[in-house]
Amino acid sequence: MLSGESSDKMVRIPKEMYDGIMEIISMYPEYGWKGPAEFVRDAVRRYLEEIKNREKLYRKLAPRLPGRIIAILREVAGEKLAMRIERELEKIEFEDPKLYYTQVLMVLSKYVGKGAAQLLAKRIMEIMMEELKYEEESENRNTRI
Amino acid sequence: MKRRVKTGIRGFDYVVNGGFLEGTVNMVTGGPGAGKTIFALNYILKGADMYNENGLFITFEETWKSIRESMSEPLLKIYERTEDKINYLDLTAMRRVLGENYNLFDVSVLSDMIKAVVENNDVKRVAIDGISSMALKYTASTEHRNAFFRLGLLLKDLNVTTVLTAEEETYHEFPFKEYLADSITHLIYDGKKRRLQVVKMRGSDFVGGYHGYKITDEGFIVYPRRVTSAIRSERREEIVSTGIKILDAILGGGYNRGDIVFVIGCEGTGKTTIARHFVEDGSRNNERTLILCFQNPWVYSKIDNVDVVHYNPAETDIYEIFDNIYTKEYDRIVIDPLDALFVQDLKEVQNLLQNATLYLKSNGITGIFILNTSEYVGTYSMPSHMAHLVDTIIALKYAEIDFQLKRVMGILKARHLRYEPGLWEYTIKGGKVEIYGRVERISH
Repeated sequence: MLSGESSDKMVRIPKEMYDGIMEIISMYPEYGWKGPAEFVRDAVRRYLEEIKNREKLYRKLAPRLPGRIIAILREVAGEKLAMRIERELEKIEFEDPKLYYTQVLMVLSKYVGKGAAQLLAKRIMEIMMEELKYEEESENRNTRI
Repeated sequence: MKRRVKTGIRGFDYVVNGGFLEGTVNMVTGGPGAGKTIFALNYILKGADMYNENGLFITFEETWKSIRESMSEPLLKIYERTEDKINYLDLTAMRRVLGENYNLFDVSVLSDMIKAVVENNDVKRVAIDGISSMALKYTASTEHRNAFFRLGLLLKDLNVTTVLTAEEETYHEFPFKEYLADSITHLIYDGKKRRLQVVKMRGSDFVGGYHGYKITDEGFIVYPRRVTSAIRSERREEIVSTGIKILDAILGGGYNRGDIVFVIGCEGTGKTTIARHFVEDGSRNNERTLILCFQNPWVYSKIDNVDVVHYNPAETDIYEIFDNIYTKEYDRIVIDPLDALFVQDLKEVQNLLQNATLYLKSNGITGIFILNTSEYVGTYSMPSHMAHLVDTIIALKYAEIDFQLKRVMGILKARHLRYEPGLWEYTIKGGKVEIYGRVERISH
């Protein structure tokens, strides 16, 4: 007998994944999952939240990207190239973070190639996320104190 | 026919027949301290400065900051005046930023980068310094072999002329050299002596064998092994005065222009004085003389039209010494004394001397080579490997005449000259050789 709303949709998962879920449920009864469906709902809810948070982070961090790129390029390729890229990046208007990120990447690719641009931008975003996480944790600690 | 891209590295373009071929990839290998980075840097800096060509320098091992800080003042000045023509990619700095992600930085990413910078900046010359660190990440898998192959093709498609540097130790394991390199140059450095050897140059002649090189404040300097393939078939009919009238008469007029004259004798017999007469005569006739001097350079002072180059032969590279012969147009040359060079590798001396004498003969430059002997009286011996170089031999020694030890000279050999045989008594007064006449009787 299936529980849930009539508007619910079905998705299929591979058997190996299903077995893995069952194994986790039996290993950690303290989490209180009543069955695989609840586990999957819980996991999807968390993942959706994480993606939304990431969107928020992107909105916050993307405008900082050009500054960081320029600082790194000054060291990697010199002032001349950094300034040329900076002038082009300044022309990009920030509306949608994803679009902005893509446009920044396009400018960067033109000067250092697609592969290096992707690696650099991705790494810079990672670094900024780590920094932000650290900042937030510090703020939380200070608030508690 | 492909254009030659002059490297601007002094002496090196002679070795590679005028420069690298345009659009080729040229590998330079060497051990630590051999000068690979300075070679690559010179190629880019001189290219911008002397030939107005934009360059790209890619560094994998040293940071650009440290390369810039270690530039000598003259090179830094070149960099400062050509900065707008020089691009660089500091992949060491990039590695710091990327951290573990740097492993994802592979040949295709590098190729992308090069293409972008070359196309955006009209780059004609590329130097990739320390590529072996990237190359050795790869084994001989087909995928990676192809990646390097594509890098080579890209550089050719972009029509840039590239210098790649690689560690000598890793070069032999470098699995892609056959694909990538159109030319291979080895820099050999044993802590004292520096030698350069080109072992391959696709589509071009080059001067094989070893060449000397030096790293100076002015940059990378090559002292090539100059090769003169053949001497002139006709003999020059011109006579050059010895600067001593009676000696001219003994020799049947003087030396043949373009001949090599050995002046052999022990200490104090006046070998240098005979050479000085010859140099003074050149000066009087507006002929330019080079003196390679390894002792007492002041002997040749106050003579016009003379370049005296003084070296400590034990401390100066033999290639650097011989290079002086080719740098200006001279009419006469003196090596005083030749045997001072025997402290160096004899095979190298022989090789350089052989080529130098052919060059002198071909260009009608008359040479006096002074050779010290240890015998004060009696017979002389001359190094057998030199005999074929010589046209005229003037032997100076002491002989007992009328129960006194006196200076005598004799002509042992004078190719094409109708010389007077016998021994001639002479003395040295006020720095001049005075020949008295033929010796009639020597005490035994």
